[in-house]
Amino acid sequence: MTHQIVSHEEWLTARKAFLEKDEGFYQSSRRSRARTA
Amino acid sequence: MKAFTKAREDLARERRELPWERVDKAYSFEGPEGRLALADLFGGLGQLVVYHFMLGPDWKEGCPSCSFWADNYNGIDVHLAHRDTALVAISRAPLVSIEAYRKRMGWSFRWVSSAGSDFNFDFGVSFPPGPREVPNYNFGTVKFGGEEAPGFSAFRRGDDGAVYHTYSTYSRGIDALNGTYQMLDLTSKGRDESGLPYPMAWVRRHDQY
Repeated sequence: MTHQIVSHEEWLTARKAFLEKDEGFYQSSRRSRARTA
Repeated sequence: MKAFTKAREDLARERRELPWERVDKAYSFEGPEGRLALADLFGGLGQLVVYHFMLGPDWKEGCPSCSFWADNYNGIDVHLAHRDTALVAISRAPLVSIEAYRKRMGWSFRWVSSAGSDFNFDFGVSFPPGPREVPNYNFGTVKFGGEEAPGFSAFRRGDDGAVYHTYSTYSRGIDALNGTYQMLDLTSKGRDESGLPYPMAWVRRHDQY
């Protein structure tokens, strides 16, 4: 298994850092809908 | 549309590159076949995806929104299994309540109870009663007033036999699981929710429209 294994705190930090991008993707598609409504 | 597809694929690739954490806590679940460990929920497959379904300990019915979501993933477990992935819904309600509601709704997916376990609390979808002093939901970004919340988690069985937590998402992050919304997004009316008191005000359990 080659994947990076980290502690819970490190996992949370990485996930939170990704949250902006993850959530931003959906917010972006929501804004696209609003623009075209 | 090509830009959307590329953005989605890029995001999925970056998601797959996120680090994993080993799950060492001995969570216990109750299913129709008896007590189960988290590793048992894989059913011999390499991956496990969990829908955190809002059905609290004293609830008589499942959350209408989670029920809407369940209508969209019911029946897909056979396809997921052919990609080495097991699908399980998990709620804090006792198994007898889960089974009764599942029978009413006509669903066939696997659904187990986490009653008496820390699982729902540790994975950020159950909260103790009382006021919220600080944001408690979606990785501490939102104050969620209820005691049960929706979410999705993914796990991987390692070559060493251990279970690894690879991903969890909440709030708008579970939007992608709902095929009805994805289909409506391809229509001229779209989701058509702007005139409602809140976006999902139209949603009912499928036997209550």
